[in-house]
Amino acid sequence: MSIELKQVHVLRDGRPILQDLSLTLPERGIVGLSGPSGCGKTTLLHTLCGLLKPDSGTVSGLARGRVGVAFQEDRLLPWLTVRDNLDLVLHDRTRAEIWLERMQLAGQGSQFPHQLSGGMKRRIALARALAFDSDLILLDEPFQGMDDALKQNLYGWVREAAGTRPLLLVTHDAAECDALAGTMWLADGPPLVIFHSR
Amino acid sequence: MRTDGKRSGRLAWIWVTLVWLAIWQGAYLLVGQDLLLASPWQVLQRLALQGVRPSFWLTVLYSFLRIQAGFLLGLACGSLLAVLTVRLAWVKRLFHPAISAIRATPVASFIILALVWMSHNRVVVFIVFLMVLPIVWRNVTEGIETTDPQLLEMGRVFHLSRLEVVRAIYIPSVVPFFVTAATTSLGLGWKAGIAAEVLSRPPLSLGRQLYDAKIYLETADLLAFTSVVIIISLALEHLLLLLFRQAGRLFQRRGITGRKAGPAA
Repeated sequence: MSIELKQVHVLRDGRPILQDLSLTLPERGIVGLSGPSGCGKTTLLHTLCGLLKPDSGTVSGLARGRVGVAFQEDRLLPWLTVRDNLDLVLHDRTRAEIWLERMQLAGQGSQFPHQLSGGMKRRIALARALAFDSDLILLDEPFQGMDDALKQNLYGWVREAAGTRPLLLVTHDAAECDALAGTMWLADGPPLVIFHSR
Repeated sequence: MRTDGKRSGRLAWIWVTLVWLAIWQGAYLLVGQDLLLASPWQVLQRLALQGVRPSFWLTVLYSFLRIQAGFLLGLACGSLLAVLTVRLAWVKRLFHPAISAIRATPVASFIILALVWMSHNRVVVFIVFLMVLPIVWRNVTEGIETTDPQLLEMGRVFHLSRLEVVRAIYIPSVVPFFVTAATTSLGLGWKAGIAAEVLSRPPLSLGRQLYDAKIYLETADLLAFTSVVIIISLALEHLLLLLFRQAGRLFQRRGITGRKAGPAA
């Protein structure tokens, strides 16, 4: 069953950010979403993951209501080690270790977020979103602060995670979209309007 | 490097203490009347004299138990009330004026009122409790309310259980506020507790000893018992900070799950 938004309205301070928005995500694979800042992309992501309740309209197709999200901010717990940050969400220390290795951070497991660079923290946030057992993955600028060689290494894990469920990738980087997204959406607004470019 | 810093810190502390003792001795010589001001040596002699008496230690123990009972009760109730007032608006509406009134009312008024209502021992516990409660309540409330909403959203999105949210997000956010409240209110609790003992004069209490010293114009005893109160209060404050520091280290070593941190087996 596909994840679907039907005639969704979301108001913020009386201003429509999502207005009569309807869209369907493919059952699996990566959808790239690109558009100017402030057009409503983050509001769309927050609506999809349940943080924002639409003022009207419906979000359907999330069988278990589980969404793995890499927010625009890392949102790591500063008082937990990197390993514990993953373990808290995955409830599986072995999987946390595996994902640390996949993110090329096996040696940093015992460090705290403030001891890591911006790119390293981004990778932990990405790992948390990809490893979480979910119906949908939402990634908001997940590769910020990473060089091209590192990105190339991580693309494989992103593709693998999207093999069984849809993944919405918000990015300003056209190269990331070209490399990863099978479907490309261009956004404008607010209120958010989405054009299917491929 | 760190040891050098510690050593110089200790040396500075000894130097400062000696300067103040010299000032005290100078003031004693200037006043020239034992009745008005005892010398540091006289106070030390009285302390040594008291120290060999079992009743002195029993007095210290009973005062300690009364004040710490009120302190712990204040910590527990203040924290609980903070959780309730953050979660339930009507509890906040109900308790906010009462706690504001407690904070504004002179402690002597409460002591005199409490003397009418309850026994000597309970007066002390009650007064310390009243002094500690508003501080803990205000700080813990602030800690809960300033918990990073983005982390709470992360917890919601990743389906963390209520217990996990409390253990992994709320408690670490509130701990610095709680530590500040506990250390601040400990000193205040001792001051208020001793004041309550002076006015209610329960048997075996430092407050009663202070009162008797004043009645019999024993200035050396008065200063000796005052210094005992200061020493206990400062020692407890340090002990409390040490405890919190150790708890923090244990938390970092064991992690949120309580399992020993380190790679998976």
